[in-house]
Amino acid sequence: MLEQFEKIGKDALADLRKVTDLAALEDFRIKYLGRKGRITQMLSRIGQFPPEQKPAAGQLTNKIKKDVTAAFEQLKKSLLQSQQEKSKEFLDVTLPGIPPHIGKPHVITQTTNELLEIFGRMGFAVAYGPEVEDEWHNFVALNIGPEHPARDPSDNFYIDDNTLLRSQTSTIQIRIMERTKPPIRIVAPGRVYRPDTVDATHMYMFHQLEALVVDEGISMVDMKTAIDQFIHAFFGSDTKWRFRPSFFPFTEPSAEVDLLWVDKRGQESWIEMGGCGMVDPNVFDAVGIDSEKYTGWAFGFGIERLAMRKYGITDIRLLFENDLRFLEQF
Amino acid sequence: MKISLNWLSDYIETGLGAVEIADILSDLGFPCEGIEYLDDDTVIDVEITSNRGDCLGLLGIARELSAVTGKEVKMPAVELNESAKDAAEFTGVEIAEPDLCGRYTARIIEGVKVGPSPDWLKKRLETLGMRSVNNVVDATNYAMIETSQPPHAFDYARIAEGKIVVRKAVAGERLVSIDGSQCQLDTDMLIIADAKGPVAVAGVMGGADTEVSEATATILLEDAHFEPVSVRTTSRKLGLSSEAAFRFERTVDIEAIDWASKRTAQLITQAAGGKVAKGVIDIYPKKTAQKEVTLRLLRLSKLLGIEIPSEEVLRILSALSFQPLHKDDLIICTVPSWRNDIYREVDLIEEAARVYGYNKIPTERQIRIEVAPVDTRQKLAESIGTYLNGCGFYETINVGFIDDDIAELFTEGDVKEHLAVKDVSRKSANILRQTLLGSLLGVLKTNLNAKNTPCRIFEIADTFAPAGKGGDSLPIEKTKLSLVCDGNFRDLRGVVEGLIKSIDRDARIVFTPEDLVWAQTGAQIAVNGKVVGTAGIVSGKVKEKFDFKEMTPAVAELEFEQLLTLQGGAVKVKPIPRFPAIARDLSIVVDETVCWSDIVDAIKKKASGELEDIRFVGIYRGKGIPAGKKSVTLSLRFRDRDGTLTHEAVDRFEADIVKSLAKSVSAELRTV
Repeated sequence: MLEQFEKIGKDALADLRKVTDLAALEDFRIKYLGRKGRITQMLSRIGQFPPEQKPAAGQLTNKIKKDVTAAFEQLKKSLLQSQQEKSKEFLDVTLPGIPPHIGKPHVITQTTNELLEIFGRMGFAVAYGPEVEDEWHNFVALNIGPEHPARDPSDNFYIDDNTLLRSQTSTIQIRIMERTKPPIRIVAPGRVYRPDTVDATHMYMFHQLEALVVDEGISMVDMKTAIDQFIHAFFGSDTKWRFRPSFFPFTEPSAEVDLLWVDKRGQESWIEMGGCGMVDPNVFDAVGIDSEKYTGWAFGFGIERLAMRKYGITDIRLLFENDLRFLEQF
Repeated sequence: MKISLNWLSDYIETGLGAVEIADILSDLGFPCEGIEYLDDDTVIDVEITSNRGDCLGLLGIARELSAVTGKEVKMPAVELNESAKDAAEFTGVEIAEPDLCGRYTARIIEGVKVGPSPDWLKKRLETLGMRSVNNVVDATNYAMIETSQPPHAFDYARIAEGKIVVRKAVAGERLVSIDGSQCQLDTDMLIIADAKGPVAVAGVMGGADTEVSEATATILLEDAHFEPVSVRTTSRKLGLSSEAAFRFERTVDIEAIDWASKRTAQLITQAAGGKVAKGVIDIYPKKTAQKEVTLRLLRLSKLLGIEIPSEEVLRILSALSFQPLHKDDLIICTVPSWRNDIYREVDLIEEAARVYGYNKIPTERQIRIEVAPVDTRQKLAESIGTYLNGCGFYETINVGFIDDDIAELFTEGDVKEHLAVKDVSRKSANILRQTLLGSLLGVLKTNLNAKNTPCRIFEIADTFAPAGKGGDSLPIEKTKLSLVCDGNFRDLRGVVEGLIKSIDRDARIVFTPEDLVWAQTGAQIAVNGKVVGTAGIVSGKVKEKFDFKEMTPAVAELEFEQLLTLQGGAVKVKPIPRFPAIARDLSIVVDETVCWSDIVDAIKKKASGELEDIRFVGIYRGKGIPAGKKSVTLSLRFRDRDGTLTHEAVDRFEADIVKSLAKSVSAELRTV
């Protein structure tokens, strides 16, 4: 009878070797290891052995069961694995990603924020003012007399005799000085309007940014140092720049700030970046600040020109057309 | 201002090349705009700032160069071989408007032979790109380039009674100017008149009738000072510009007028022959006093932040003809008559710094700094931008003007009540916008035409409305945030809600149906009980105007100032629930006109404290739902924070809610 048991064991292992897929393996399991399987039933047949053979039969049965089960499990594992491998899809990692729909800040806002961030680090608070202004803030208090060409009605957007769209952000200087006692250290961005004929470099609305410092003992050296630090922070620490005497009614002495610009071909040229100067005593008089006690400086420039140069934009009109194919590039 | 180096060398010999001269002038405040190399000359084009009318002539440029190089200015020698006849026998001058004409001189030159200019004269003018007219006119132009003082030559024979009156025009007077323009004069315009009427627009242009021609034998030479604003206003009004007007607008040297007149007379006789009558008619009603200005050296170093040695300051001011006198810490200066721009100490400090060299002012290694406060406005605008960018919205920037017909779409009253700029160069779009929506819909259209979809855009900008009646207050300026997209309303609403919650996480946001002039369906948006804006889908009229075809844009406009008042408040962390929730889905059939907000109100009315959330699932219309009705599916979530809910309890909560819905909005449960 023991020989019969051994044969079952051999048959089982032989059958198992023929199994090549999971379905056949299941059939094998039912035939040998299932509830009515041949190996399972061996256990109930041990009782039929003579008492002296029973231990040996028990041991043999256990051994056969253990061996067959181990072989079965091993085969099952490898069959499962190969099946998984077969069903795995090919992932093409070279396919393009699905882009999320996101928007972008306007390039002028990006530039303005960058500028404000630098001035913020330099201790300048942000200030704003109205875009529709009176002549006092746009001209008179800024020492722009009636004889100055900038006063010409055809060079400004007048709304009525005394009100106009501001032609410069310097108006904010006046508003701040009227209501703030020195020390003052502000930076004021904003839209300004001038009735220029529109072309690639002119628009009747554009943006300016203006910095103002008023305190005791402020000198032209302070102005030059602050502008130097600003320019190096914004354009890079190896940027060369210079002061050139100029004329603005609201500053005296006045200077133009020129940058040494290096274009893509390596050509160097001086470009006008903006104007600056020591606050004119007439301006201090207009806002009621003692010009003997306090001195100050102001620095202003156009943001469009800066952004256009930085990004190589050759037509200012693109900035206000707001074509997404343009806006998404920044 | 174009500078011929050959010509300039008549007045100063610098021994320097064009580039060096250009650099010096640039460092003095006259930036070079180009250098033109000709066969036998070089022309430098420099920009002259509007305060330096004295440098609109080569003598002025020479004075500036002299201050830097130390080389002397050579003034042309003026000697007139006058005839025995007195100028007063020929002419007389009357200034009726001494405020507008500070000085007027007249000289008479007899026996000129008008014809082509001699080569030397022609060549000098042509080098600067000026057209040669005839020897007399060319001589006056030559004088202007030299002295920056513009003279004018009249044909004496054409001046009625030979008398000059400087007066304002009388209504209805006209003049044909030298360039052929028909000038309709008005009573604000200063003119030069003879006994019959206008012969020139003062300081702007002469009349064709008294123009010097081949027939001219006697010349009346005008050299005068006219008030800048008057010249500019008249020149603009008539649309006439001239080299002369450009100079008068920048103020001419009133003291040098007689000298300039003599010099011009000399040049005319050199070019066209003739004899200068003896003397001059020189009307100079209010002689300008010489200005004295004192400079404190201490103030100079305080303002500039550097010390310039007093000898150097004296040298500079002396070279610029300020005749400085040094007394202790003070330098007393007499301002030369051609420097109208100098009247205060600070002006002298600039002169010293400018010639000393701005680039000698050093920079330090650090700045004084005080920490600046964060600007809430700037910060909010930036965080709104960041949020909206994340939602796929591009920021746009649009000009503040809009066309009437666009403004009209968004206006309930009369579109004329908008602020508008006085028409200057713009024919349309001169209205100041009160909403950003018109501009944004225009941008949406442009992008749709270019097939840039999806197109979601926004702008933060000021809008303008007239000030309230009374007082001289400025117009009302409100910053608005507007959003426009080609998606559906619920998407946009989700963005707006998310945006507001990104500012105030506990905000109660309510959309209420509202009739809006531009909307097919509109809503008012309230946050914490305060109206902050509107939203909706645009009306058929708006769609037609912008030519939106299948798509109906969804838009929203919020008041930026209101958003600024929202406070985020401190975060109060809530515990994560430990007990499970039970969700129940309900489908109810209600009338088509029942709003979601009505349903929510009905649920809340009878809801137990365990109701945690009401979520909209969907709307179904069609098979099984009667006409005029809709089936709304919603999901209710219940949770007991202190224990596990039983299904039996939730059954009771749900039954109460169903009863309330039946009562409030006549809802019937839909059995699927």
